[in-house]
Amino acid sequence: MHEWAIAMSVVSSVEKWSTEKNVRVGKVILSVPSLSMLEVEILREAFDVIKKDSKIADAKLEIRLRDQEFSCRVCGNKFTLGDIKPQLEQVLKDYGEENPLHIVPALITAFAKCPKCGSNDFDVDTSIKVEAIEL
Amino acid sequence: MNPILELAKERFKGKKVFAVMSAKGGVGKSTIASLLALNSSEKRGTALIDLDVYGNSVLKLFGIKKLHEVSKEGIEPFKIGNLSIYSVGGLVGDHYVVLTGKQEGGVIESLLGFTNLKDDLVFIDTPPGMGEELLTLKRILKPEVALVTLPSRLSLKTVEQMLIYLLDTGIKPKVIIGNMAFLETKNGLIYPFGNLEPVLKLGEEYGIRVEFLPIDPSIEDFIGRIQDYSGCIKVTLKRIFVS
Repeated sequence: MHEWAIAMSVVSSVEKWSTEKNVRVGKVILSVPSLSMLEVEILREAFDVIKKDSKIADAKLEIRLRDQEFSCRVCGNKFTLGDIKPQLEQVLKDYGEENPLHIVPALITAFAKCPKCGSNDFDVDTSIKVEAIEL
Repeated sequence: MNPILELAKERFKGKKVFAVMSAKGGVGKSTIASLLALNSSEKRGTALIDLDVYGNSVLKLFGIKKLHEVSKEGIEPFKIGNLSIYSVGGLVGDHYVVLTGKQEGGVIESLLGFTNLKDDLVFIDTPPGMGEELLTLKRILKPEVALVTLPSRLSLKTVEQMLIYLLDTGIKPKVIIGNMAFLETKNGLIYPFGNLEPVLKLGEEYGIRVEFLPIDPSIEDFIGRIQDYSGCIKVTLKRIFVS
């Protein structure tokens, strides 16, 4: 549901940037972490609705789902989202769709462990970022 | 470009934000932040944001065990009268929170960014120390600060370091609160940490007002229902913040 708030943040940030640079935005490339389980279609729909009242009304949105690489700081193991799938499914089961990782992906270390050594101490990029803007 | 950071900045634009801070843990920040917010909410809509992502003491103080609802606008608050409360504890429930430094920043950014903030007056309960949470908070907003210390020499030394840091970064706390300064008994006042002179001296040295709060053992009976507490700590805070 908070996809709308994300869309609002993207429109607002890009609009501010385009005003500062005095340029017309053609496309926004948004990179989102797969583990956030964001509904891409809702995000796109929200972007299309919100942009209408902004200075980037013609901009298109490309969403790139990012499959993060996890790096354990204890044993050095590199792992992927697929390796911790059962743990993420448990979160979904415990909390439902509006689960903590959906809203705040940075909470991942609280809910997942390195599949090799069981440590919560791992690095992963959970940020939502505007990767590029095409004019 | 980090849209969530920008969203967080946008949410707090034009808001009056009061952060209750201390470099030391266990000095009573959450209780003070909660009572300040409750006092304020008697007159106007007020928000209370619990940034202590590990402790979530605010929810424990209010006895809130539910999870936040999430709408199109973001995280919806728990309502206690005119008070709107937001906390990471309202996302994770009873689950522990363990975070790397980088993730800490992401959690604070997301919480502040997705908070569906409607009130113009916001109190923030901050975690102890001077870690990522403090840096992230400062990236997003410039709060008014109430700096809390115990009158103990150890607490004062630690809090002075935070005070110097805040001054270095252009934030002059409005008030230094010497918490748990005295206990009123039938035989007069007892000062568990000795005389209060060092706290007064700290305020004098940096030109900051100093106020003291009493110890009220009865507040223990209100953990889990702090909204029902009307004892001397709340009354004293009301006087301090009116003046």
